[in-house]
Amino acid sequence: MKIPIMLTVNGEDHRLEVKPNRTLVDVLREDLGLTGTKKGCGGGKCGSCTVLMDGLPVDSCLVLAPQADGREIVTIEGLAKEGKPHPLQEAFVAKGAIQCGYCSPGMILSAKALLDENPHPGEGEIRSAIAGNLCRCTGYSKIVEAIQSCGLRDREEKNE
Amino acid sequence: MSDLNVVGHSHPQIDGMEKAMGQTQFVSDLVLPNMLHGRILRSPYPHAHIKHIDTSRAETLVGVKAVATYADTPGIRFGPRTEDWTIFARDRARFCGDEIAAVAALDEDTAEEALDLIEVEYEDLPFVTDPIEAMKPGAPLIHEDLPLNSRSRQGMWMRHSRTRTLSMKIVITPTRCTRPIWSRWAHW
Repeated sequence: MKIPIMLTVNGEDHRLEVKPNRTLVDVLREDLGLTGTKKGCGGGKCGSCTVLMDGLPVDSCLVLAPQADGREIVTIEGLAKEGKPHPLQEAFVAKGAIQCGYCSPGMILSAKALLDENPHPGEGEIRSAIAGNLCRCTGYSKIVEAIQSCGLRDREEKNE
Repeated sequence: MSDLNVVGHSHPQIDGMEKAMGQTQFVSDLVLPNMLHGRILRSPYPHAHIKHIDTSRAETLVGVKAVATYADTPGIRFGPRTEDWTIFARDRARFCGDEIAAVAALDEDTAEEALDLIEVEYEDLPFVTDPIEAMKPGAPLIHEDLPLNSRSRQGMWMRHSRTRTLSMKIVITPTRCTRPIWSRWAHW
C-alpha cells in the first residue's frame, strides 16, 4: 500500500508513491539517484545522512518518507549553483577538511545550517553544531577551521 | 626550490572538490546492471561452537542466487600479523558479529529473508570481554592452537634521526600490560 508524496528536493518537485516504512535517505538515494547523501549507520548516530529539511539539519535515515511530504529538502547536490561550489565546499577543500569524504556531505550541510542561522560562529558553536556528524579520518580540526573560515570570509566581505 | 612545480608547493586534494560536491561514488553508491544484493549472517553469540549449518531453505528461496559458508572456501588463514582469520567462522564464532554465512540475491528484501532461513545450531561457550581476564590462565581460549590469549611478539622499530639510524627491538610479553607502546614513538 503506497502513499503518494510530494518532495521538493534542491528546488525540484518530485511526485512519488512510497511504501509508508521507507526512509527519506533511501528515497533520495534509490528513487531519486541522489547518492551524495550517505548511509553510514542507518540508525541516526553518525550523521552521514544529514540533509536540510525546511532549513533544519535532520538525519534522513530517521525520517520516514511520508514525513517529508510537502517539505523542502536540500541535499549536498543542491549546494553548488550552476556548477559553482558553495563557499563551504571551497573552504573544506582549501583547508584539507576532507579525507575519505564519506562524512563530508552531511558535515557540510550541518555547517550550512549553522551559518544560515549564525553567520559568525565561534569554535564552540561550530563544534556543537557538528556534534552529530562523526568523522573517522580528520579529527575534526580542519573541519572546524574550514567552517570558521567561511564565517570570517563573510565578515571580511561585509567590512569592505 | 623555485624551479620545482610540485615539491615545495601546496596542492589541493585531487578529489577534494568531487567529494565536497557529493559526486564521489563509494561502493554502496554504485548501481550496476543485474547487480545482486548481499547480506552476511552474523553470530549473535560472543563465543559459540558452530555445530551445524543448514542453508537448504535459503538456497531454494526464489531470488537467491548464492549462499556461502566456510565449507565453500579453501579455508585460507590470513591476518595482518598473525594468520588467525578465516573469511567465515570455521567451527566457532569468536565474537558477536562473527561472519557465519553470506547470501546474494536479486534484491535486499530477499537477501534479508534468506538470512532468516539459514539454520545454525550453536553451542554457547564461555567468553571473556576483558583483556586482563583473557590473559589469565584458565581463561577461555580464543584460538585452540595457541596456549594463551595473547601473543609474544618481537617488533623492529626504526627511529630515524638526522645523523644516524637507530633500531630498537621491543618484546611484548603476555605478562606486561603497561602504557601503550605507541606513546613513546608517537612522533613518527
